[in-house]
Amino acid sequence: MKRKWQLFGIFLLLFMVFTIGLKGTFDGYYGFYYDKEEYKKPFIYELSNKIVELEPVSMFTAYTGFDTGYGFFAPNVASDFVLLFELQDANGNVLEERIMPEFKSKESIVRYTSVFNMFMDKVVSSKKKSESQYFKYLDVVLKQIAKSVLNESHGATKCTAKLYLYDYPTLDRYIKGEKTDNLILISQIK
Amino acid sequence: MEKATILYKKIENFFFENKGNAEFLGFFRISIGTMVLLHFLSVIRDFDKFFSSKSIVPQDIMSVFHPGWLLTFSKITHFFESFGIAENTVILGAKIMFIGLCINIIIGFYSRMSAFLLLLLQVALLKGSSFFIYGVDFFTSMSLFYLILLPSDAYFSVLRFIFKKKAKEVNFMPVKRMFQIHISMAYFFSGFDKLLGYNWRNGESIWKAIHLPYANRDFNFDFSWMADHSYILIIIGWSTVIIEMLYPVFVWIPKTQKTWMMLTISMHLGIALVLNLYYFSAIMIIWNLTNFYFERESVPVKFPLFKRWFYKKYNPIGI
Repeated sequence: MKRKWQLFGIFLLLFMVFTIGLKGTFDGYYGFYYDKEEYKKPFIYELSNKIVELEPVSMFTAYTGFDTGYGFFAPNVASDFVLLFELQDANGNVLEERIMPEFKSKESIVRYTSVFNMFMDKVVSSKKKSESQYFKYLDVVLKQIAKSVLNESHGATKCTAKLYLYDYPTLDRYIKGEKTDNLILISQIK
Repeated sequence: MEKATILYKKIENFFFENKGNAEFLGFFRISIGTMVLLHFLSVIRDFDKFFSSKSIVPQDIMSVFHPGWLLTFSKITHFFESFGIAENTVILGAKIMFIGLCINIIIGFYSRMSAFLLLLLQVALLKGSSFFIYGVDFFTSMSLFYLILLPSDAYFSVLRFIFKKKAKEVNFMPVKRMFQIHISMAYFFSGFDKLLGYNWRNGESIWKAIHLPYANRDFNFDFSWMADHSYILIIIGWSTVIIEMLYPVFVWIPKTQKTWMMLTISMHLGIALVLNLYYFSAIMIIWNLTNFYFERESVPVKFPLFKRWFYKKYNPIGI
């Protein structure tokens, strides 16, 4: 009897892993191919969403790390961002330009750059979504990062944060002679 | 009914039949404990910038979308502050506790309890500052969860040395099988999701990944020559998809098990060198070695054709 319960527990956990993996696949696929279109979610997608959102399931997965999907860099390698800070004195003179707060280790930089994932919504979200509260929330986050950089800089009284989408030429464009990267301004916070 | 009974017996045998050796327990415990400790120490000097009230993005902004039941580090500090204990003291206590629990896990001193407490602390820290988490943090949590389930300090541990107790016969196979299936599913989804993206099939994703602004900063490899030999990018893209998607097939076949594991580890070494995601690569390599390096006897393949090609019989190892 004990073995049956153990097997039940194992299958339940593996079912969760499978369901979250499946949800990740649907999220990635529809997020990539249908990001600007309305679409009807397949039944399995809806079901996996419902299962994952059940409170006992989300509690368990949050406390065990099982809430992660597995589609790393899939179905497409997401674009990255460059956040540039322009520090100015009281007279408006530019004192310094920085790309991130001061960190003491490389791993801290990896952690810091994880914050850029959320700004992808500024690029791919539909017009309707871009007018939503969430868009304003992202601006607040940007403003707070800028404030943090300003607090580190002695002498500066103002910090302008410019969020750029990092655009490296695609293989085709590179072969045709476009060898340098471009920064596309997405947002600016003063 | 009889068929169902036979099927159940087969499943039960698969999960409970003791076919491995216990060395993986010590390896998993020590390597995960060490990796989590090093990972924590690597950001400890910037701890305040991510996890305290002085973090780059204030905790209350990060917690907007947190469910009420989530125990975050800011809630813990507020709790202690209500008793007059300053945030700095709580942070110092958390740092000491984190390091101490990692050491307990490494040396094998009540590792399961230590893993449980460390998991709570790690989740409180990381989920509380969810803007700054990435893949490795989830895999760290899952590793700690497996350390709780596995009798990880029953072998090669200080606890066993102190109490001079003979290791209790504990069947770790059900959890090991679950762990093996888990990693197999993870790789399958990772490969399948990539296959769905046309950029993985034409090499563009590899080109993009190696030119991300925060990748390839440690060694600064020059990949521009690849543009003239784009077939290499296509080969790397397809290889990644094939290695990952077919992982659940070839890692379970005795003759291809070690080869497939080495291919997967090579892929993670490549990720470490080029994308500079050292800790993520390290934890994936640990997962691979834990699950499939210590297999002395692999699961027999029942198809006669495959059996002739792939199945090597080993002598079972008792514990």
